[in-house]
Amino acid sequence: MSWTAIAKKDLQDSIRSRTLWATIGIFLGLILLLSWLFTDGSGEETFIAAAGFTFLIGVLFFVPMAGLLLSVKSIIRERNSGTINLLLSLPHTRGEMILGKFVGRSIVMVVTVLAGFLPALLYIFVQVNGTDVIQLLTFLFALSVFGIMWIGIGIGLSALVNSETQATITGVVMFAVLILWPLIFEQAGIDLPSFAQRFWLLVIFADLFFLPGRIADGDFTFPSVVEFDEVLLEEVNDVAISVGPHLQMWFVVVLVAFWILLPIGVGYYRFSSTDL
Amino acid sequence: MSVIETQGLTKRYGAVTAVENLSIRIEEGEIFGFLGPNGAGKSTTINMLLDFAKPTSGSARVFGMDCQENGKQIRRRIGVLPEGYDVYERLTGRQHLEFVLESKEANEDIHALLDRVGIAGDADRKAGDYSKGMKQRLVLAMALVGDPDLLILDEPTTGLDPNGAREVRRIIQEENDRGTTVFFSSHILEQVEAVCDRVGILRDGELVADDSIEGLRANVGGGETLVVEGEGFTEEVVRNVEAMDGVAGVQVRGGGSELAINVGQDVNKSEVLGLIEDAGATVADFSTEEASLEELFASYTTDYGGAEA
Repeated sequence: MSWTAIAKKDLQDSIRSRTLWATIGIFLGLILLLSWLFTDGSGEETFIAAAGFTFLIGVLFFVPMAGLLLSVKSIIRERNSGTINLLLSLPHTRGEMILGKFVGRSIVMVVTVLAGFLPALLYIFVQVNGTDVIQLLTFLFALSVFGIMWIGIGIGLSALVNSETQATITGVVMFAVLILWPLIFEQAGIDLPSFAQRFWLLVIFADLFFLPGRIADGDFTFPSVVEFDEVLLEEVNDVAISVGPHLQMWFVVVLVAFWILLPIGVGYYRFSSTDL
Repeated sequence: MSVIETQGLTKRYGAVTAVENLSIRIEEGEIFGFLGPNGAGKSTTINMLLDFAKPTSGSARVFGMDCQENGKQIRRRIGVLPEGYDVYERLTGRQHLEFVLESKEANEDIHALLDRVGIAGDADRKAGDYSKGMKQRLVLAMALVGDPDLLILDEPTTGLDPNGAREVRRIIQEENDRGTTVFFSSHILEQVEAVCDRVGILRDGELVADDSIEGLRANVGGGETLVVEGEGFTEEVVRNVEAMDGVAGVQVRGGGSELAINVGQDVNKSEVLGLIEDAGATVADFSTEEASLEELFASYTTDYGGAEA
């Protein structure tokens, strides 16, 4: 298939990129340092508590930054340098090019997440009693999917913009906006409905993290983390928890698809009709 | 069926017209030289054939298929050396060809392909370290993958020394002998002269000639230059000669000691010489030269000369 050839080529190219290795190296060091600082070695913390603060920083900055760094120039750079003229002279459509790039960069993203976080996670795993392997894997899974969403956003932007400078600027703006928008609404005194809050990438990350545990328990109708206040209240009053499907935790799968398909779709729409 | 056919193909960028109402037809097995100075619209035309750019109006078809609708099917059967490309700097020559082989679902010997273009020894070096000429050879090898029915080569000899350019022409000839149609653009007539069956000349986005080299020669004032040596070649002499039937252009050269006259085949040279002497100049000697390819090309692509003949 066409896109597999492009994904493979893209992987080979990325693996040889010094920027990639530098990114992995810097964040690996940073996260290890944070893990060491925030575990006191008493063995009395829970895994989540120990990992929580360290990885909040990772989730807030490392994964989005790495995701955008890996993707936001992937298409525009080929257009600028002219390598795209070789690629699209071959029997590939522009859609296949985007798909191939998305898959290739997503693989690189997952490898980066694993390389950056796994050593720190293992460190915490050893330091903190009562950590189970499932929690560790769930964390890596949530981080990977979260990263892939940022790849989708970056590839979409890359297909949309006209220059590498534009790519950098829109990348930084998107990073800030996508991380901060619910806080901006809150500060402005606008109350967002729960469903709107679910589109926040950080909420999506939290839902992704808790989802595998819920599914393992066979509880498919459990609400999203945006409903946790309600959940606590209902537990106190001992009533059954019930929310609509769009507020249930599993619905995060649809939201992930939304955040991948929307940017890529918009990028594709523009890219497919543009002159190289 | 024509391999390439454009009808009224036009491309405008805002107020600038890059290609205007271009209608060409290239038949199976031909080597077609697509000529024109830089900026004449050659690459824009090729970009529309490859669906890199959308036509403003008109149509472009390859193998009878529309270039916009069926781009992928078309590109399965063609090999391309595009303009303004760059190689993937971090990938080796071999990896480039692996990518093309996989993309075209072809199964060929990479070493043999690279050997054919003379860079087999550099297969495992990063293409970013290649010279301009080596990159050009690599992309030519990529174009040859899968035994294409049509080769589209945009300025394939750029960056190559005369030897390299000759090798490229040899490869073009070999491919053509195997039945491949070749569409070959250049801004230098000499580059296409040796291999092309037919040339089209593009000027300011318009096709100004579409003929064999011999045909072009015959069209341009008979393709002969009468060189007269002597003195007293005043403006009046030049004006009188220019006014003669069959004279396409006159130039004073050699600091006023030489007159170069573009003449048609049926012009009586002694009549021309007589006229020059009557006008008060002295003729010491004269000779004739066949118009050089450069002059021939210039006559089609600049205002000087007798292209309208």
